[in-house]
Amino acid sequence: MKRNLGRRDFLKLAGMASAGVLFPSFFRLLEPVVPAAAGGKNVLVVVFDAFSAYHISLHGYGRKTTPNIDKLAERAVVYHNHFASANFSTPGTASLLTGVLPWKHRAMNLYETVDASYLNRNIFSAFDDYYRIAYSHNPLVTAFLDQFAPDLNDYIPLDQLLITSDGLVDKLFKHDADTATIAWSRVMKNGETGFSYSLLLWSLYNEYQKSRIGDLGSLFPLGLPAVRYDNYFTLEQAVDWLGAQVEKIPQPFLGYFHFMPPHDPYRTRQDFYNRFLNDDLKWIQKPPDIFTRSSGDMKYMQANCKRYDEFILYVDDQFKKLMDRLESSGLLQDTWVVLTSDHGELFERSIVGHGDPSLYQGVVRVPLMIFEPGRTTRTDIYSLTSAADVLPTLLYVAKAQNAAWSEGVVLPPFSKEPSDPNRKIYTMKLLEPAKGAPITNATLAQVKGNYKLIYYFGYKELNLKDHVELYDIVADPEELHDLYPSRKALGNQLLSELKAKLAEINKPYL
Amino acid sequence: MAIKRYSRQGLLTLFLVCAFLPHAWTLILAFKDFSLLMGRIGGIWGAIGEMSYGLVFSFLDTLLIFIVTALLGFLVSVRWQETRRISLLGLLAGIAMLWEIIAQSYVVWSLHLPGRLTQFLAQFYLPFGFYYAAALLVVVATTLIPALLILRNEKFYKAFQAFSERVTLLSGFYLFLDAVALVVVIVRNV
Repeated sequence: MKRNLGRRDFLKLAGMASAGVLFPSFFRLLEPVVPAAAGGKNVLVVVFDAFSAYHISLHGYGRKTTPNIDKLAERAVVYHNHFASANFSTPGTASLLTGVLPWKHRAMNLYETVDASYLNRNIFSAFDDYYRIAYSHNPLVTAFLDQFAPDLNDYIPLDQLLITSDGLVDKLFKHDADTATIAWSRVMKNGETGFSYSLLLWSLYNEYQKSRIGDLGSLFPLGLPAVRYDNYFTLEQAVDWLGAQVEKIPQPFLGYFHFMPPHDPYRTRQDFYNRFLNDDLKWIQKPPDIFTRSSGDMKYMQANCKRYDEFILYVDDQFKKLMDRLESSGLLQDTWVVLTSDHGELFERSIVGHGDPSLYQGVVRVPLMIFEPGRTTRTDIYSLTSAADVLPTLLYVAKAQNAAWSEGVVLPPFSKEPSDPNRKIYTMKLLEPAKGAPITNATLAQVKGNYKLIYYFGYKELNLKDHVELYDIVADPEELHDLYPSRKALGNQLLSELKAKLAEINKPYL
Repeated sequence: MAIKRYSRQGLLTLFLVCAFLPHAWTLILAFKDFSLLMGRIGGIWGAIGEMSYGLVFSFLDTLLIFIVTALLGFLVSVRWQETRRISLLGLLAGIAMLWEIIAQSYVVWSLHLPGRLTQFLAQFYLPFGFYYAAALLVVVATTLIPALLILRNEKFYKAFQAFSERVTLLSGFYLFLDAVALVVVIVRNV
């Protein structure tokens, strides 16, 4: 694989991809034909990290961030009230992979992996008769792929789709890669934090990393998309590779691909840069958060939000490119494609990003679209759904099996059962309990019907006092009015339900 | 016959002088990170591991700084005796590292220019240009004046030598820590 993609090569590749769309049958002749196994449809899960449903035009956002996805949705099942299980990658992704919520899989902190009991209860082990392939740009997710590697036929290493990487550190200290990588960042990546343990080596390393980008830099005015500060990549490279790979591997396959954009740093491509400059998006100033105690610097949040939205345009463009390629190769006819995210992103109440104790809609409501093989019409689902539902649904539609261990359900319209109108959806931020300890410090959100109850407990910053907020997310989707003070009876009823659930979860750990 | 510019003892002294600031800076930042890293990477052993990697990389940083400084030493006239030249090189390397540390400290401890100074700078047509020109002037002055003092002022030279002797002692201890850190790194990787 060519790692240093020059500007000219990049344009050539883009041209080739366009030709592929125009002359699919010709290009198909050049590809090896792998017959599909009897009855089995492929499953392709595409996760874009930190992709908030709040910022998607398909879901009513004021900016046209997803023109291509909006069109593709015309032949998909679109879930409008889909919730991530948590507010950052480790717990959020683990739920997609295991079908259970963070309080069960117990991957709660950075680089943590799931409880050993899920080693044979996850998406890869469940599809054991499929060819299983996985890749992630996100090192936090790579930790899970490492853990599930025995159940993967093709585990693509992180640095394979990076232009520059810390792969040498990972390889040199492979038995202690997490700590070594963090130390490497602290020593070398001065540009990430503004300081480094190193006084000279960092600047040479920085120049070396920049030199490897070559002409590609001019296509990304804010710098190339990156993980770990200077491990640069492009979505074009990833999508081209993915498109080519799935055409080659045996079928039926299960593919899990986790791409970093639109996660920060928000670095869109030249053609999307400043697309939303001085547009007329109405900015809603929200009440202060219990932790930040501030509504935030509006200009700062707006500037970041604009960059994030422009980065989504890049995601949208590349997802279309992937779908076009799958269609032109004929794979789309035999493949369930899932588009989703592990968590969202916030630009409100002085919060920019994700992972802090808050669970407002922007950070927990994520897209879920399922492209069923052969589907030509759109179905909109408005009932509440959870990240934990993805695994049982895929297992059911692709293999007619149930994931008995899962906390999720088979989603409509695929389930034969009617949706439960009283279903409770949970999303959470759990703070650093040991794997075998009860949860005593967390933010838990329970969504039931129109109401979302957010329960903060065990925080030193709140003097260990509980804090509860209640929102009507149908009448007040921006969560501007906390109803808890005025509707105590309803709030306390929902709170007691949530506390009962927490007690049930904590019981085995007491 | 090539002139032997530096003795082994002279180079060792220069290496030890060069080792002081990178190690001190690494230890300051690593201790500052310690509690944060304890939470992030698996308790005290994880934080000790991170610190150990930091020290091992710091040794490499020292090596690079030493090589660059020693190479610059070839530009220094041999008409000064070796110990004076070593002192000069050690001083220049130290000043360069100190400026790097000062630049990074602004971020580490969230320092800002005093309000009066920023107000003063804001009056100019190109405030950043003026700021950088002034900074360049300060850096040149803080480099040239001590360098001249080392070469011309016996009292300053002797004082710096006495300071260097203490620094090399501390650096010896840091190199011992590097060896321990290397053992920790090896243990973590077997």
